[in-house]
Amino acid sequence: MKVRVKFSKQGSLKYIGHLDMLRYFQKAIKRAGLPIAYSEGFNPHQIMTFSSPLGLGMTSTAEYMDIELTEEVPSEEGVSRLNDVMVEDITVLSFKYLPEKSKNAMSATVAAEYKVTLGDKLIDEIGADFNYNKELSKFLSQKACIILKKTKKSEREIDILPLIYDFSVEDKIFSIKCSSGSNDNLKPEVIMEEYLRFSGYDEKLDRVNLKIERTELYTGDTDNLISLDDIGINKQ
Amino acid sequence: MSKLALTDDILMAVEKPARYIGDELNITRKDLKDIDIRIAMCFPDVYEIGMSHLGIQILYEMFNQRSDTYCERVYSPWPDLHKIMKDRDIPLFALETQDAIRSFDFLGITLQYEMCYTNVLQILDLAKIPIWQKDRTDNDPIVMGGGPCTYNPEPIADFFDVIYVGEGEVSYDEFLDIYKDMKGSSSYSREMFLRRVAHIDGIYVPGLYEVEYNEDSTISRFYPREYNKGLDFAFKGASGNEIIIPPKAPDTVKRVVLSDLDEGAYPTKPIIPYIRATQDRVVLEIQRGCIRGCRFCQAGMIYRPNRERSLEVLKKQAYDMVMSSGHEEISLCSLSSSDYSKLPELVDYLIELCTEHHVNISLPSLRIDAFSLDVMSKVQDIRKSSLTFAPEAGSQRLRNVINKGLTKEDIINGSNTAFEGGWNKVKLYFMLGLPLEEDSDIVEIPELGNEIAKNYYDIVPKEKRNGKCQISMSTSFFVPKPFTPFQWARMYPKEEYLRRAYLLKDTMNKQLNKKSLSYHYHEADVSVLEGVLARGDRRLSRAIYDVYMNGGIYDAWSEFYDDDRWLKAFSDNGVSLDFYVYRERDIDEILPWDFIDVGITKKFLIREWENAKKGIVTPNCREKCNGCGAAVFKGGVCIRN
Repeated sequence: MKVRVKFSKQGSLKYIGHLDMLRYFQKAIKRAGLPIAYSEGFNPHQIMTFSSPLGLGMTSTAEYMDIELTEEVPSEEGVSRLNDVMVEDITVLSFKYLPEKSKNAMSATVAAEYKVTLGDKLIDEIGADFNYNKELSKFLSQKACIILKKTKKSEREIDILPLIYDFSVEDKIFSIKCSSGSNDNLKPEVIMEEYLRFSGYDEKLDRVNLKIERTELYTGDTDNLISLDDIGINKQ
Repeated sequence: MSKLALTDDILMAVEKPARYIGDELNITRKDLKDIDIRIAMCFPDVYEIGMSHLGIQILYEMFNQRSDTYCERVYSPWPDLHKIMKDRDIPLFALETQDAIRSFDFLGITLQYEMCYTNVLQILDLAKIPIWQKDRTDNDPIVMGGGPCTYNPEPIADFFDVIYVGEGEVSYDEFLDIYKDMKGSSSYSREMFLRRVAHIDGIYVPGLYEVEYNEDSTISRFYPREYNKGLDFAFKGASGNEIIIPPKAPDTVKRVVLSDLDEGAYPTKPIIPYIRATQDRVVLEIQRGCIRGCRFCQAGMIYRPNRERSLEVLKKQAYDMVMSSGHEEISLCSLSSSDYSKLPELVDYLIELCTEHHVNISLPSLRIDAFSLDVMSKVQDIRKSSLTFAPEAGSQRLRNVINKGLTKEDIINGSNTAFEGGWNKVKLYFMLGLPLEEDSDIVEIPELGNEIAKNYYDIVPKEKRNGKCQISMSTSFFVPKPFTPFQWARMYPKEEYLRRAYLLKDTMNKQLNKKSLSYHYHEADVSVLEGVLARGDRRLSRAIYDVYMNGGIYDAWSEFYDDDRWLKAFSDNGVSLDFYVYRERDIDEILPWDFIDVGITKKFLIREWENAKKGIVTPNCREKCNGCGAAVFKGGVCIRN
């Protein structure tokens, strides 16, 4: 049976990369004594899949990990057994059983939601006269916003506007919902960079000045996005 | 969220920021209000190496068991961060609280290999502690050293306030109690504290000793300086107890030993790094010391007597650590695991425990025989794993010289049995440049490799072979170490080492089975340098200082090691390779480390040096006591016999 675990990653753990998080959870699951399934072979490994890697330097309140169990553990107990063996800055939020044949957290993801806060230094540079809301409306009402997307193999031009599903700002805190996952993966810092450049900020954006938190991952289709957390169900 | 010493822009700019953020699972957190003594324990190399070291974890556990003490960790910043810290004037900090080391009571540095000496200076420099011991004031932390390099601390003696000789479990409680008592009194001074603790067994305070030299550069006299006009000095500590300080430090420094290993602290809740440490596994220390007495091996001499941890304690520690860490692997730590007397029982238990909890077992330093092959076939993938032999010398003659009790028959029988069991990879470790080595001994190394390979093709029928067999031979260059029977031996210039390595390689290429053989040798220039530092004296400290000032750090890493930088510092400071490495020392010479009483006697070492020259083998401690002197510690194999 497949279980989807949702967890948050805060504080200094933003400096821990994806592969290290994977190793962290392999050990944590053993410490918690959860009945996880192992693969066959001479070097069996735990059957687990993670949602798309979180960039180094970002925090998150919505990370996902799918694990295969050999026997059922009540959802509430799963959460508390994991939290008993967590470090301070990682908290397990839910432990839900997935329907048979559901896609894993990685391949199911089509969109992500982020909260972006600007560093004091950047706010100073942008200046007090800058109207964040007005500039945002102008940015979104362009015909197109073309960026050059480089991959290992090729370069291609894409229009990012259709990939942005929601982009708003309140008190200089931005909320972004955009395409994510294996197709048309769009990074929030790229959106911020384009927005600031469009609005006349000419400096090269130092990404350290953006505090980014991933707040949700979605599956479904663009008209009907469903949180990855809502696919599974709690079991008593 | 805990505070960080480094800002986001720095952490995002450096490689592996996780090295510097602390906050790992199972770290000790304490409220500083309750703390009298703050200790920073340092392994002077990069985090992933330092976090793999068992000794620091034991001390961390032990210090933190004291309610008045908080011990934290610190490792060497990688060169990228080193530069940023120098440029921006950021002081070195401890991982747990991220507080500057400068404000601690003690900075303890483990000295595991000579090539870390420039990293020791890097630590002091970044911590903003005066590099030279004589320049420190009452406000600076007390800088302590420990570990194997303290068996000749002289080349770095001028950088340390205190050197701890022996096992940490023994004297630190007394040491810290005295510190607390003296520090709490109004008349505390660093100098008085150092004079007092120089009388604790295992504590060497270099600043209290003088060295005089002969015209030929050898030592003429090493002695404790006298103070207070030859009279005791007494004052009252914070507790009201009288503290008496004798007028000079002791003539010799006694190494301290934990006689019963079951009584020592052990990190049963090990700290789990986020990034992969070099040793990413549970480590079970099954014994200390070794019964074998190989004449080149410093660990085999300085950690005597051999003492075993009891099976019951090991089972409990293994269980606790497997459960609390979540590690995927467990490994045994000892100098020679096969000599642990209850190894079959321990392995049975581990197999049962590890099968249930999906943990792999790794068994290093096993002697290859029917028992170990049977165990290995149970715990490893035979197709991927290899057999390791350490004959150390190519010929039986030279193996007798070095007292390595491994015969050609053992190697051939072991590898043949293994080939029948499905293995096809063999690793062989040797040393070149051993005392009394001749070219004929070197030639026998590839010949042995060839014979092992030939046996594989003779024994294993074609249809059962898993490809070619792979016999890999590697050599390091022998470096004589203090407190071994070879402490008087000479070394050779780099060119001579390379000639020996090429002789081995050329001979290998003439062997019939050369396609199944491979050969690798270590760098020769680093070996010569290690030789200088291993048996050097106080006159080396200026050269080490110059190397650091000229940009030398991470000398243990070949990508950072710069031989020319060292040779220049040597010539600038009158350090002669002829004197320190290229000559055989006379047995009457006063050696820089003679003031340390390590347990084994000089008489025993001289006898062993003479036996080596005659090719006489000395039996191991279990077969017969050879009167080395370690029996004074009344532990382990010495009392069991």
